[in-house]
Amino acid sequence: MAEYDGAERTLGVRTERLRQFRETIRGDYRATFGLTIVVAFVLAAVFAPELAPYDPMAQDFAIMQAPGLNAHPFGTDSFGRDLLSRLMYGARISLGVSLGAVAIGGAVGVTLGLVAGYFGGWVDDTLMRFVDVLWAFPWLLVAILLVAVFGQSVWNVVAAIAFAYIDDFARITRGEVLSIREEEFVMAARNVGLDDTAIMFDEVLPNALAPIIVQFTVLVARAMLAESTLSFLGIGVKPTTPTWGALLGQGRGLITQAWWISIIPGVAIIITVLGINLFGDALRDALDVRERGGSP
Amino acid sequence: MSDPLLTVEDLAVTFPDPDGSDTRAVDGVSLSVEAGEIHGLVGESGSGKSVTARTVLRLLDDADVSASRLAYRGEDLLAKSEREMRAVRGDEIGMVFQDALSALNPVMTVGEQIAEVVRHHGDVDESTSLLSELRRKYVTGTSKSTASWRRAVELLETVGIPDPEQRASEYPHQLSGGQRQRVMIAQALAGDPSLIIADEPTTALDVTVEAGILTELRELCADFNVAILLITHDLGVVAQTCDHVTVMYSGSVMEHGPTDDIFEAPAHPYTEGLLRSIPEGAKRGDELATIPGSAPDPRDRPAGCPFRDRCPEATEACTDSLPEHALSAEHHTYCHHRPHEDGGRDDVRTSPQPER
Amino acid sequence: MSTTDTDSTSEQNDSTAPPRELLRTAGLKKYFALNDGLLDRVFGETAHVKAVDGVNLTVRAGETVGVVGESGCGKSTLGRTLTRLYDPTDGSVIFDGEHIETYSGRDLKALRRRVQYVFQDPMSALNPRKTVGESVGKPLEVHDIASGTERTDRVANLFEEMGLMRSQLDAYPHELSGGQLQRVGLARALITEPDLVVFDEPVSALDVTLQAQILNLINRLQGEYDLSYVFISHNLNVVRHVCDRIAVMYAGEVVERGTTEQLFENPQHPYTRALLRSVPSVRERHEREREELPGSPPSATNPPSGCRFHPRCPEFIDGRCVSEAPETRSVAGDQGHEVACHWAELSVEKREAHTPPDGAARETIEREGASGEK
Repeated sequence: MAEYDGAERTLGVRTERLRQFRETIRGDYRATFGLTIVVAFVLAAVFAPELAPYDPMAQDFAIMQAPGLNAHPFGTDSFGRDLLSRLMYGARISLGVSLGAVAIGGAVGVTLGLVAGYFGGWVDDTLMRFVDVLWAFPWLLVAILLVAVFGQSVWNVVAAIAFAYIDDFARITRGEVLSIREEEFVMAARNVGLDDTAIMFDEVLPNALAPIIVQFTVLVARAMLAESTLSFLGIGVKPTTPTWGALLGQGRGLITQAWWISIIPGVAIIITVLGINLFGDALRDALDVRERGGSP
Repeated sequence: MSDPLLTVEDLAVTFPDPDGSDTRAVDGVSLSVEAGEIHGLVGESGSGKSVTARTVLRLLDDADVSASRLAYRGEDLLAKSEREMRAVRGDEIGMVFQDALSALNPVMTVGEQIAEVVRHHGDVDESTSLLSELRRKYVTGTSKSTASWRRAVELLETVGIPDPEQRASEYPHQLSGGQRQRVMIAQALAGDPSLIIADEPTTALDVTVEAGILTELRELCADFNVAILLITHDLGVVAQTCDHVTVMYSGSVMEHGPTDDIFEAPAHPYTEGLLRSIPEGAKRGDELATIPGSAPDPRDRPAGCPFRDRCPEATEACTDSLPEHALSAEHHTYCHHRPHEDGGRDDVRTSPQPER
Repeated sequence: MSTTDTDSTSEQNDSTAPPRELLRTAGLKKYFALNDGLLDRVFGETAHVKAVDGVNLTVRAGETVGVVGESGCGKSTLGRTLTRLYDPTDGSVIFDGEHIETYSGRDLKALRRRVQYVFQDPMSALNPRKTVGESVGKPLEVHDIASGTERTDRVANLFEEMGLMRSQLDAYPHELSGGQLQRVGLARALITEPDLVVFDEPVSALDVTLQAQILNLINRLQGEYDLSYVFISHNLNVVRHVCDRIAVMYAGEVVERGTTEQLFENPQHPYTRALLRSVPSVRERHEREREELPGSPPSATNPPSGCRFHPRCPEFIDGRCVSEAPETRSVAGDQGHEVACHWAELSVEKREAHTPPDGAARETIEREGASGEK
């Protein structure tokens, strides 16, 4: 493949395309805005130990359920813990779990859907029936099973959520592939001498990406909430560990007395999802060469 | 023939583009269709022939249209309201599209689709109650007997569909391509129009079927005194069907006149090149005559003659204007160099053209 | 239709050494299963579309063989089956002395280098997300022919030879015009320097002036690259200009074959004659009326009994047409000209003078013929 890259560069195609891609992304306010949000949150999560003003576990019973003050800009929770610090530490789990779970579920689901749709026939039947089984299997049960067998850990949460999203990705990908494989350029690729694997990943998949990207951004949001569901049921990460979903859950009963405890993590989730959505939209458009100028 | 049925003078159609590069699809086109004739509008793809036809019916909402005259039976079509135009479409001017399968409603029987137009046209008495209609459909199962339905069956017979009673209650996908095209023609006839605009009506069909459809159009023209504006890129279709021909290139008319004049004594270099490109009669291995190059981008069309970059006879004069010359009362061409000063045509341009 | 070797006679009679036979199909069939649901496959009896049903076709080195017929007659499927884009259901394809109908894996990949297929619509045959330069250079990568600068150079040179510009290497398909795209399609087919190219209606989507440019290019390339062509088209004017020999297809079968001259000057099968009569003519527009062939091509799932053309045949004669499939026979006194019609022995004049039974009489014959068959 190294040889391939070299040749592409001499053709001026790859570099030209990257340049065009960067230009499109840069000129798109959605991309700039979305990416800024996501990067900011990721940085806050990664550098939480350095940036957080307090230890997220440190309790200060003098200022329980206090609203935003100078010392605690987002206020404190019912144990007097600093909400901003908990939010920053919580981002580590929430972002990691949701992005990771959707990426894993997406990789498996897209591959299944691609293979099923491309080959059709009994391959399709077998794989999609398997996906049906996945879909029919309650993911909460899977989560409980994993916790029962392996104990509580972040990895089990990721696995359970990834498991739940395989069928979404598989179905969407298969639907796209079914129509794309009928296009003549797929047969033309066979005519050139490409084998099935190369045709699937090199010719078909890039043309099926748009709805997959949209699905990705939607599911990241759902995964954050799913993680909080698991935490709420006590089969997620350890209850004391701050996650956005858990913060939201803790504050829910106190919404009339201390609205910030639940509203602030909620807003954090909304902003993240918005950022990912915006970036996803921009990415989808930038990947579509037909959207970029040129005469018809 | 005093007044033509349809007159188009100096029509220009522009599709505005927010980025500033507007597309001038049609630029100064004049055209007239007499009652009862078949008028061919020929041109390559992108020449503006379909846009011209659709503008006549005012079907293009997003275009800037200007014309010194766009008249049907002496009435100004551009001055009509959308409501008045709806009366013109169907009742006065019918339309036949290239792709009948997508132009017909897939979930409605073809008879019903024609009957709908008949009813819309509004000269049949239709007083079936819902109850008796339901009984007919689900209890007795007899075929429809409303006036509009009978008229639909009649029309199907007129356009040469065998077993019209049976076919009327079938759906578009059950018919062959040729039959669907005939259904479209029947539907266009249902409003009893004086002009039918047929946009590439046979392009999607096999030659074996095409011949029948074209014969049908000619017969309708004679039997019902309907004029047909036949839009096509296929010179073979024009040659054996039309009375008059207008040749378009890149948004402008190059030449118009009686079919025989156009085919036997083409006056414009473009028409000559077009006729010579047809492989008819060419033997194995013969080099076909071509027109080098390709048509200009409609967003950046040069002033003067749009054909000049590909024309072997182009001179400085071609860059600024496109003058009209009358070769006879009916045969006109738009070219600086025609007719030749010496009166003869040099149609033996033998110099081999570089192939590109 | 018989699967006997039908071309041997003509080869024996060539006084000069006949050109090498490059491709031969014998009894080639391609059926498509119609019902595709799970239950259909488990329980049902699957209906088949018999797109190609026993075709013999021979292509000699350096010649162009035309395949003509109405849409749905199976000509495109034939082209795709003999290039192994489809797997044949039955019959054999011999390319350069080797049975290629069973090729797979590495053999098949190697074959792709030598046999190429050019699609009708170059726009849909090119990946919309790849530049045309990438698409044309791809075969060089796949077959390990050239890499790096050499690959770029070869693609660029071929582009120039096809009348495209070097700068268009980086264009995406939607940025080029129809004529340019077809040149890209040709370039992709020729980049591996194949021996046989199958063209599927290569000019029917193009305007007449571009059509002439592309046809000239196709003709010129044949000499330059020493190519053999199979040329699939419904346009008889084009086929006449391009082909040495022609096979006429109807409902999945070849009904007549011969040299271009034989077919145009002395058509034997009623279907061939009907096709020729329906061709639009600019030059003879007053002398000759175009004629329609009534009816439509038959169902490929359940083709008519006997001669498949009999329900539409303007020269229909009697029960034999209904009950018995005609064998392919040589036309007397016309070397290499073959036709599948029961009445080939009768002179054309006699057949045409014969008034086919009409209406009820014809129905009776068809009914009897059909029952006689059982």
